[in-house]
Amino acid sequence: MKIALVGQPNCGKSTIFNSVAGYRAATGNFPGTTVRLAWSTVRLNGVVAELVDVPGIYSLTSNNPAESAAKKFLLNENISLIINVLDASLLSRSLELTLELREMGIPMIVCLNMMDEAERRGVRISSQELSALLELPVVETIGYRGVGVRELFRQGTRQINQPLRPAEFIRWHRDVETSVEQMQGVIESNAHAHRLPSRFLAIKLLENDDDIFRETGPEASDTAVRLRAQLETTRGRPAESVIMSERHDRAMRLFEQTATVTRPHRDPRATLDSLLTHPLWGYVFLAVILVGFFWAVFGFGSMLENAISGRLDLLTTYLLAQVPKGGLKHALIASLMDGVQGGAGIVLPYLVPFLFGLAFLEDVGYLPRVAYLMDGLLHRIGLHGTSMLPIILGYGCSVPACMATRILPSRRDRFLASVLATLVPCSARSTVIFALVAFYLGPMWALGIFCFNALVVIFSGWLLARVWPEISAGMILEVPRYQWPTFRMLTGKVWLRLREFVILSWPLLIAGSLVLGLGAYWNFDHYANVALSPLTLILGLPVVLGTTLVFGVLRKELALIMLAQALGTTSVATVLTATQIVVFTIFITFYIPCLATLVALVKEIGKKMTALAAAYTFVLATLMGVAARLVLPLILGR
Amino acid sequence: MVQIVAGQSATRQLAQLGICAGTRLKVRRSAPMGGAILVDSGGSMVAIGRGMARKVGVRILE
Repeated sequence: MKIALVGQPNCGKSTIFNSVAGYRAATGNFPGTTVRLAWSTVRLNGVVAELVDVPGIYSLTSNNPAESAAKKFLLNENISLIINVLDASLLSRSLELTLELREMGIPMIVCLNMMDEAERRGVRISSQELSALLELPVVETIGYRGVGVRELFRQGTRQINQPLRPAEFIRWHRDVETSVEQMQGVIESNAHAHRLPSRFLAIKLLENDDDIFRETGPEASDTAVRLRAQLETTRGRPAESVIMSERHDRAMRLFEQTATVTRPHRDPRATLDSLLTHPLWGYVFLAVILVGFFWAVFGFGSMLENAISGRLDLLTTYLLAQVPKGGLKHALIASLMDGVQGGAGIVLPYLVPFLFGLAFLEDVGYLPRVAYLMDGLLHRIGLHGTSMLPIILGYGCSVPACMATRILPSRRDRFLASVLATLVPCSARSTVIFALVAFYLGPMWALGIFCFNALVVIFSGWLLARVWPEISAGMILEVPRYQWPTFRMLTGKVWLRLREFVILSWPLLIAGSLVLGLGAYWNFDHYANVALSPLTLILGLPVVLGTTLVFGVLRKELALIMLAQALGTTSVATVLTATQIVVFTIFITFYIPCLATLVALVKEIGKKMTALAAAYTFVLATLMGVAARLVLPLILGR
Repeated sequence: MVQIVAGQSATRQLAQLGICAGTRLKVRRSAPMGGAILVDSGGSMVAIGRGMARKVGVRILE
């Protein structure tokens, strides 16, 4: 049995999903956070069901891959209950989707979410009246605080297996209604048995929906073409636009019948927003926020690193003192502790504050503002503001960033955005930058690397846009209200992302450290290093770092741990020069995306494009590394 | 808002966000150097790229 959470983007579906299923689906305050279906088996009032979090859709006509995945699911799966989530503060617009879903004839319940927000906006909704008019149960909720969610599922499960009365109340202007009826007649006369009501199919055909055409056969298609042309001549605009405005009018009427609008409360967020989107101050704040974010992560991170590393060092020294020096046991313990220390002492201290900061920016709703601010600049390099969302998400992890490109309508934009998103230092690479460059050379250097990276990303965007020119279709992006995230939401999200490091990367890291340690013990790593020596030589790095670079392809943070392992010391500055540290970091930052990202890329843009992207990043990394090697000594004076 | 002279998909996307003929829009902000504009339509804010915004015909009310 399937229960689907369906609603417009950013209406809080995932928050409701998580409050029942545990923190499984990433939430965020921007449209298109959920780009794929999330499933969870839940037990609701004695009923075991598959709860499905469906990506947000504005209507059943899709604009991008994320939305068409949602639509396909709704049209083809056998769904027992639709929970239609609405942002109550945007009631009239949200009802348009409700009207569309209502005609599908699937048992349904309406969830008026964000009731607190509606109240603040001065929108009073009578849910009884709405329920009576829609002929559906309506439950009010405040998702992020969990208010009303239990009641929603209690009433929802009661709807399952209850036949839904046809929506007689959705009747349109006579000319449109006549066309719909004629269309319906043709569909019903067809021998095919359809799972969906004929009225729903008829309307979708008049809206020129390709997915439905495939289902209803040629005779219906011919009639649809004729009726659409007829509507177009009488109304003077395309049939789909006629139907959309019918729906719009009906939703508007419902809104007027059930809601009263009084004066909104004064909203301090409006003042904040006028500052953060100001043509001058907006950019100043953007810079301040990014640099502040950077300092905060570094400050917390180095504090934690000092505290944890010191203790772990003591433990390592103690353990090593127990076994004879130079033996296999000694090598084993040393490399094991390197792996443990790498995770707890170097990666986690920076990763945790970084993820918290990013989660906060995402949940507050700042990212769409950045998209707005950057649209002009991005246009110049042949992209548009919406592409900014996946690129910023790339600072967290490249994998969800590549998936987030599904909110972009054009294939070319998806390619560009996913390549650029993989060039941006993800949290693992940021860890390398923080723990190496910031820690040994000072935070200004690390900031410099981030800025340098941003320049290279902009340049790459410009270059790739020239290689694949296409007039970018301009941004249309909803900018949500600011929302103060609850602590539980933040920790849930940070843990969701951290879990991957703790249960997947860290064990891999320890294993990698053991392999390298044993390899060094038996002198195996020598061959790998020799094979990679052309690369290490042009970069001016010690030959022993060859294997490290290979490990970096598995997981980027592995390169850092392996660095310490390969050099035989955790105080890197004693063996590497400042230039070498920077070159190593730059190379690691740019070169071939990690394995998980490559897999994600293949899925999003295909094998050929992924190979191209990997080759491009490798060449770029080598060029940048060599350039840094040549230029830096001049600045550093050595 | 008077009319939109743009492609099918853009027109649809705007309509889904509540921007269609007859809607009252309020321009909240416009970014410098040919950047996007921020429009308030019935309580929801929409960022629209400059090129796209040029295709939205409006009659100025105040």
